[in-house]
Order: sequence, then C-alpha cells, then structure tokens
Amino acid sequence: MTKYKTINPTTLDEALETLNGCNVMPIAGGTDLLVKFYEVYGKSLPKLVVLDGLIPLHEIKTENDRISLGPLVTFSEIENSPELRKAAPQLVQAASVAGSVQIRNRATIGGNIANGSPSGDLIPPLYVLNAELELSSVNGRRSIPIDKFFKGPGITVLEKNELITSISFDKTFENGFFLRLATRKALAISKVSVAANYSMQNGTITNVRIALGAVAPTVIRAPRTEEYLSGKELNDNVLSTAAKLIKEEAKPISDIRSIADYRREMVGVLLKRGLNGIPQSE
Amino acid sequence: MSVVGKRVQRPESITRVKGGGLFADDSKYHGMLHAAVIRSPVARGIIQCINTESIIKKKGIEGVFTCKDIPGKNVIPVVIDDQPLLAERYVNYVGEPIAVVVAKDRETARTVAKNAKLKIKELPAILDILEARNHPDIHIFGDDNIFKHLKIRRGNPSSAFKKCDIILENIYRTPYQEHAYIEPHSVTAIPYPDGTIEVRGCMQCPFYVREAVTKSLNLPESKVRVIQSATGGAFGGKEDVPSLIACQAALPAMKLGKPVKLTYDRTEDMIAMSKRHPSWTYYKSGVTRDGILRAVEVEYIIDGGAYSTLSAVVLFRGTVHAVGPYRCPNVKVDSYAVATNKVPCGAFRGFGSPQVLFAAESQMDELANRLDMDPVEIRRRNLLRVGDETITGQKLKNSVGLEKSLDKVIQVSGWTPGGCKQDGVGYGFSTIFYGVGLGAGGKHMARTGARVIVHADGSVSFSVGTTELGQGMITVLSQIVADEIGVPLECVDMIPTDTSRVPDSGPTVASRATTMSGNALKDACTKIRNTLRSEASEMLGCSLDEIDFDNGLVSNKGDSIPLIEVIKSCSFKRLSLSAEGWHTSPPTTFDDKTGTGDVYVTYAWATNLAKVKVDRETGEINILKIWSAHDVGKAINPTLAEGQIEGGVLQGLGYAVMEDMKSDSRGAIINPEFSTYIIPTAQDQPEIVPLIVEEPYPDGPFGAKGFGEQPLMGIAPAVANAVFDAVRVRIRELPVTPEKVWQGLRNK
Ligand SMILES: Cc1cc2nc3c(=O)[nH]c(=O)nc-3n(C[C@H](O)[C@H](O)[C@H](O)COP(=O)(O)OP(=O)(O)OC[C@H]3O[C@@H](n4cnc5c(N)ncnc54)[C@H](O)[C@@H]3O)c2cc1C
Repeated sequence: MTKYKTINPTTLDEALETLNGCNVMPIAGGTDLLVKFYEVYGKSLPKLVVLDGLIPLHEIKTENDRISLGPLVTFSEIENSPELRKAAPQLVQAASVAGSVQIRNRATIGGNIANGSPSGDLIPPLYVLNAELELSSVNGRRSIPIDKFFKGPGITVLEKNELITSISFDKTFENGFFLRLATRKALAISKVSVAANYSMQNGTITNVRIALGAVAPTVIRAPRTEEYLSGKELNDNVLSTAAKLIKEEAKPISDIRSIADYRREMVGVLLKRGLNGIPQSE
Repeated sequence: MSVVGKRVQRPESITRVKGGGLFADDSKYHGMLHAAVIRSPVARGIIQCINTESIIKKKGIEGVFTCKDIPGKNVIPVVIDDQPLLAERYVNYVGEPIAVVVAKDRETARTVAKNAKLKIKELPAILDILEARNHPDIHIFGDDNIFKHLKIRRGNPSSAFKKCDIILENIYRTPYQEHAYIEPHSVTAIPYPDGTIEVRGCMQCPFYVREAVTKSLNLPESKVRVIQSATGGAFGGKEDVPSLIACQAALPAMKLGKPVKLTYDRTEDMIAMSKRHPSWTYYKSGVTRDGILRAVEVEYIIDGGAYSTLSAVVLFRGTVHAVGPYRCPNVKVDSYAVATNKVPCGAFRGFGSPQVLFAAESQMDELANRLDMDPVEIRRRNLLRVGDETITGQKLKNSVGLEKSLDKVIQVSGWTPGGCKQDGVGYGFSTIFYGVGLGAGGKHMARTGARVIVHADGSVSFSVGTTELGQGMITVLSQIVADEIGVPLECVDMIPTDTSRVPDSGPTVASRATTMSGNALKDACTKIRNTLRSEASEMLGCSLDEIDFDNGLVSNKGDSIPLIEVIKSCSFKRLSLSAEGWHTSPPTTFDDKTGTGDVYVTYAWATNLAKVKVDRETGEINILKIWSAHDVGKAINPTLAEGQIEGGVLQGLGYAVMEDMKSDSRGAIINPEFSTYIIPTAQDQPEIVPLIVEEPYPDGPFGAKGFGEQPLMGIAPAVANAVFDAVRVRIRELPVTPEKVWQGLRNK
C-alpha cells in the first residue's frame, strides 16, 4: 500500500466525489481486496480510496428501536458490543468465529457485504435480521433490503460510484443463532452456515427467519421451513421434519471446500443444533 | 560434558520471532537484475515456437534464455538425468520451465514471463498412475513409464498365507502434500570477473546446487561457490529443487555478467515445485490366531510426476519401511515409481514412508480388531527387538527402543485396553521406525566434512557442509563443539554453510545432520584437543593422559589453568589450532534382486497415540491429544528434540485430516494458495505430549541418531485408527475429512 498513492478523504461528500471518478475503488479493511488486488486488477491498478478516515462510518448507533452500523464497524467491534450481543446474537456469533483475531480487527461489515461472497459470514445473520442497506453516491441515497442486494457470487447491485453507508435493523431481543462448519479452527471460509432469528411464545416458535450461507450462489432464506416451523412446538419430530425440509431448500455444489451432499445434510444438522441451543463446536 | 544433553536455547530464536534474519530475498547486489520463468501451460505438448525476439524488445527486458543458451548439459542431475533445466522439444507438465526472462525489476520480468506467447501443440497426457504404468502408447519415461521398480522377497508368502487364520486385503490412497515452508524459493547468482559464479539462496543441499550449476554452465567445481542463506523451512522441499532454480539464475548471470535474483511467488512455488508423492497401495496381511504376523504382500505405487528427480530413492525408503517395525518371516513387496504428466514429486519429511506406513499401521489395527485383541497387544507380539531381523534380513544389534517408546506412551497417557470412554471418543496407536541416514539408497554420499578453528582469543568457528533449516542444527552442533573443545557455548559460532569451506558433505536430508556433521566435528575437535593436550601437559608438567578438560579449565589433579592460557600459548608458539574432520558411515547394503541387506546404519523408533472425538452428525474430527514417544539415541538438546516432535506431529495432523492438494483433468494444481490448500493453524494444534527415549547408538555422536522426519510419519494412521475406535468407520484414503467420515457413518 505504501507504494501506491491512495486517496484519503475525511468527509463522506469528499469520498463520494472521488468515487465518481475513473478507475478508483474504495478500501475498508482490505482483507478481501488486497488478497486479490494484483491478480485481478494488475493490468491497471485502481487508485484506492481509503474509507478509514470517515469517522462517522465507524459508529454503532441506536435510535429508538433501531440499530444502525456504519460500514466500517469491524468484526471485533461487533463481537465486543454489549448492545449487539443482546439485540443481534447471530451477528455477534458470526463475527466471533470468522477469520482470526488479526483479520477480525481489520475486516469490516461493509466489506463483507460489498464483497458479495455466498460464504460471507455476516450476511446470513443480516438476512434474518431483515437488515436495510443505505447506499450513497453523488447522485443521492437509496435504501435496499439486504436480500435484494446480491445477484450472484461476487455480484451485487452496488454501482461503481456507490458506497454502503449504513446497515440497519430493528432491535428485536428475540432468539437467534449462527452456526457454521469449516475445514479448520481459524482462518477458514465456511463450507456451510445457518443463521436464524425467532421468538418463543408459550412454548411455540414464531416470527422465524432462517438464512443459509455457502449453499447457493448467494445467501438464501428458507421460506418453506420458516413457514412449517411457525407456530410449532419445538420437539424432536418437528425438528426432524424441519431439518428435512431445509435440506430441500439448499442448493449446494461440490467444490474445493466440500461436497454437495454433505453440505445439504449439514444444513439440517446445524438448524436442529441451533434450535436446540447447541453452541458452535470448537 | 557441560552442554550436550542440556536445554540450551537456539541463538536465532529471538531474532526470528522478531522477524529478523537475512533471508535469500532480502539481499541486494549492485546492478542486480531479476529473473522470472516462462512455464508450460499444458500437461504434454511439443514446443513449436518461443518468440524470444518479441520478448527481448519489451521495455525493461535485459535478456531471455532458452535451452539453446545453456553452455553445458541441459540437465538437473539428481539420480537419473532425465530432467532438463529448460524444456527442449517436449513439455511434460503444467508449470514446466521453458525459458528465463531477465529484467531490471521483478514486476516486469514476472509480467512478461506470464504473458509470453508460446506455440505449443498439445498432446494427450496421462495423469493417473495406474493408467500410466505400462501405458501402450503414451511414453513419458522409457517404454513403461516406470522410473523404478523395487522388490523384497523374503520367505514364502503364498504358502504362509494358507496357514493364516485372518487375512486382510485393502487398497489405500494418499494425496499430495505441500511442504508449505514459510519462505518460497529464492536464489541470487553473482558472477565474478575471474569467472567464478557465486550462488546464494535458501536450500538444503549446497553441494547438489554446485553440481547442477557446474554441469549446466560447464564450469569446474572450483569456479562455483554456493552459500546457503538463512532458510525459512524446507521439509525436503529444498532438497533437489534449488538446483533447478539456481541454474535458472546462474545461466543469465553468467551470460549478462550481472547478479541475477530469482524468487518464486507462492502460487508459482506451489504449482511447479516438488511435493509428497501421491500413492496407491495394495496391502495384504495375514496373522494366525495368536496375533503373530505371518505374511505380508504389498504393491506400492507412487506418482513421480513428469521427471524422476528423487523418486527412485523415495521409493527405496518406502519399500524398506513397507511392513512397519515388525518381524515378518514372509514378505513380498513390489513397488513402483511411475511417471505421469504432472509436477515432479520429490523429498518430503518421511521420504516415501508415511504413505506406506499409513497402510501398514491401519492394517495392523484392523488385524487387532478382527482378532479381538487390543492394538497394543498385537504390536507387542510382533515388534522388533534387539536380535530380530527386519524384512530385509538386517539383524538389529543395538539401539532398538521401540518397546520402550510404547511403554512410555502407555505409562504417560494412562491408556488401558477397553478403558471406558465417552461416546465418540477414540484412541489410535501407531508404532513406526525410521532408517537413519541415507542408507544403501545413497551410500556413495554417506560422508561428511567439517572444519574447526580455535582462534587465539579463545573463540571458536566451525564449518560444516550440512545446513540449518530451522531444525536447530547450528545449536546442536555448537553444543558438540563446545564440549569437545572444552569452551563455553557462547564462544562457538558456525560459519554459514558454504561449499568452499569443506569438501562435499552430501545433502541435509534423511535426518542425518546431527549424526554426520556431529561425528565429523568430533573428529576435527579431537585433533585440536590433542594439540591443546600436549601443550597443557607441558604447562602443567604432567603426562598427556592425566589431563582433564572441563568448563574452560584444563586440570591435572588439584592443579588447573584456564584453557585460554593454553590456547594463547599455542598461538604464541605458532601451533595450528585448526583442523579438518571427516566422517564416513558404516557400510550399508541392498541386493536389488532379493531386497535383502543391512540397509541403514541404525533405526530410530516411535510410538504415537492419538485421542480424538468424532461428531457423529457432522463427521468432524476433534483431535484432543497426541502422545508421541521417540527413541533418538541421545537428545543432544531435549528442547529441540521436543520441538521436532511437536512440529512433526502438527505437520502429520495436516496430512491426516485436512491437507488435500488436487489437480484438475488437465493436470494443473487447482489449489495453489493457502486460501484453498488448508494447513493447520496454531488454533488447530491439540495438546501434544512429546516423549523422549534414549537407547544410545554407539556410532553416533554421544549416542545420538537422527529422527527429524519420524514425528510426522505415524500420525495419519494413528488418527485414522482413533477415528475407527471412536465411531467404527475406517477411512483408507487420506485426508480423513468430515465428509468421508460422514459418508462412512451414513453407509453403516
Ligand atoms: C485470512 C482471511 C480469513 C477470512 N476469514 C473470513 C471468515 O471466516 N468469514 C468471512 O465472512 N470472511 C472472511 N474473510 C474475508 C474478509 O475478511 C471479509 O469478507 C471482510 O468482511 C471484508 O472486509 P474488509 O473491510 O476487509 O473489505 P475490503 O477488502 O476493504 O473490501 C472488500 C470489497 O468491498 C468494497 N467495499 C468495502 N467497503 C465498502 C463500502 N462501505 N461500500 C462499498 N464497497 C465497499 C471494496 O471496494 C472491495 O471491493 C477472510 C479473509 C482473510 C484474508
């Protein structure tokens, strides 16, 4: 990074103005971008617009019943936020298993979303929290629900001159979990992940939302399983049926990390474990 | 003795932790240019055209060199001279070097090399070893694609199998393993006005590099000087390969008269550099009801890739270790190193033995299960003891600490047969052995030199031909020199390994540095000691044999003088306190027709016990603890010996449960990065209990024998056996992944 000139805006307007130019690209933590920088952009390296100086974009804000995160909030900050621990347990769990301490200290939520990987660990939690993204450019702002943001692996609706400027969701104080499987205990990309958010009322489960990571071209919801579960008492039978249903909703492939059959089966296993309150295995 | 056997710290440790040390890529030289390699994009083809003229016209390019520019032989000398330095008419694997581009800066060289236009007519390739062996039409090597066939014939297996109560026949497979040294390959070649070429780089075997450079550049050995720079890990991956890289830098350096540096990037390194041979093993073993191993038949095939490199000797070690550390009167082993159109495989910690030991030790466990015998008991009934013969008919005279290692593991772990355990928890054993040194497979190189100089101020420098690779050789050899001369450890320094300092000392492989260089140093030190002794006897006025050297003092009964005074007196009298040492190994033999002989000078021995917990739903394997006991003869430095155990165990765990390098249908490696080739991290390290057993080897320095490779070798079968113990699923193909365990559980 020292070798290349970077642009270091200190206000959002300045940043958006610069991003409206040619061959420029925003950089947050750099943990995705720098890995592929030379390989992907080697021929004509873009100028990097360093977002770090945009102080307000680092904040976690609470207004009434809504929480909004600046895109520069890091995995570590999410992991250690008492507020989020209560209001978005699945997001906290995802942030705390990803990467390694060093990666979590740099990796940002905005980068995780913008990178658009189906195995991005913060994305399934944001799906089940019904998160809204605010996208800004010199032309103005727009708001988009997270599940309308992704088009395919690495492909999003984000325009070249746009920044993600906020990620917000309702505080629900409901139950939630995030579970994943990966090849090793640190610095590993998920083979499969499941996130959920739900309420328990008089022994029955309601308001259930489930999202799956790394088993389709983008993170997906599991609407049929959600519908089946809602209003049910959580017993072994119900959990087995739910596990069966959700396997049919996953559309995994075989790749270098795992095989399709296994991934499909594990979606069911992780859902059952999550609903049973079994924590992430070490 | 004052420091041998002590836990002294490696002097480089602190520097390394702080990121210090001068590694190959850190040095710059005046006028230095950078090289990059143009490589084959296809697995097999005929080169029709390399447009060097268009390359040379590019901005910043100083030269481009093909096989036509090589003044000497276009060959990398290893065992069989089949591998060219730069491809001539044919290319035989994806990544094969075709030409070297040199530029003022590295980026330009790499970009031009990457985008070079080549005309290559693609030919059908063979990628699978079973297909390649005796392929009717496609001939990569000879007319059968077999680099080497070895056999062992002992007793009469076919009639012995008839008398067995239980016979097991299985197929085992193992994949590539990548060395994953922290420092990718790098070398700089520096030409001098007198025609000398100096080569500096990371490497295990400076004398191999020297031979390769002299042959390809047609220079006498006196005109090539090879110096090892601080080397960031090797594990066998820097054994033969640096010869190739050094020549790729030395050729343009000589032609252009300027220093040329060549550093591979990680991806290039992983695509084109050597790896552990993938293997296929057919294993048949038979026991009688009493648990005695009666007969074993093995067919062992390793995937050599496109050129033979070290495959013949890798195969040799695998063949000799094929039955594990057991008595077996009836043995038939047929082993083959086969050519395929893939990257050449080479040396890797264990050298052809981990693959076949995975089969042998899994097999032993299955036999125990079928006999309803515990895995320790079956081993006890068969393991080698003093007086026994190995499968090559070598009678073991001494230093057989196998049973002691087994006892130690049982004692420390508290393991009991049928002991009660949690659901999903399992224990798995492996007992293994390791032929120390090059053995009969490389006996012509089983010699080594050393030089020791005691300076007038009492400091001592020494040179050896073996190399420090992170294993702690400098420390261990310094300990030996300190005790042999009688000076404190702080006074001893090693001069970086340099081919101009000592005669050809062979390679730093086969766990041989401590024993070989240790013995050569002892030889040199003895000569110096004799001079010091006679001087001291004059000074103390006593006879030669009444003198003791200890702790910087020379004494005779109550009378003593500081050693430094004796050294000064020698210096004053112009007596030489410099000496050369030399060591050759005791003889070893191997008869090609029968596979019999005294193959290695001695053996190291080990027992591993793995404790795992398997998740029955996800198939995930949590390694809870590893006990690993090794008979090393004598631990010159117990901390470093334990370090070897811990590191080897972790590398073995990677091989056992996660590392999985794959090539695609066109023979190209599909995961040549650490984001997709997954190795263990610090988080994946279980509790490792290193245990040392010392059954002295009389011909080793202070009784020591080499064992640096052994800690990796038996981990995979111990884990596979533990997984079986936990959930009754037997995995016969490495790595033992959750996916495979889950499939096994589902198919039950
Ligand atoms: C060793 C390692 C381990 C990893 N492990 C995990 C893991 O376990 N789980 C996981 O999910 N990920 C993992 N990752 C991936 C990565 O850390 C995350 O995706 C991270 O969230 C990316 O954030 P960043 O700030 O570093 O993004 P950057 O690399 O800075 O940016 C990524 C992309 O997003 C764009 N971008 C960044 N911020 C914005 C914004 N505000 N608006 C618009 N575009 C923007 C950039 O232009 C770039 O294209 C790992 C990466 C590494 C190197």
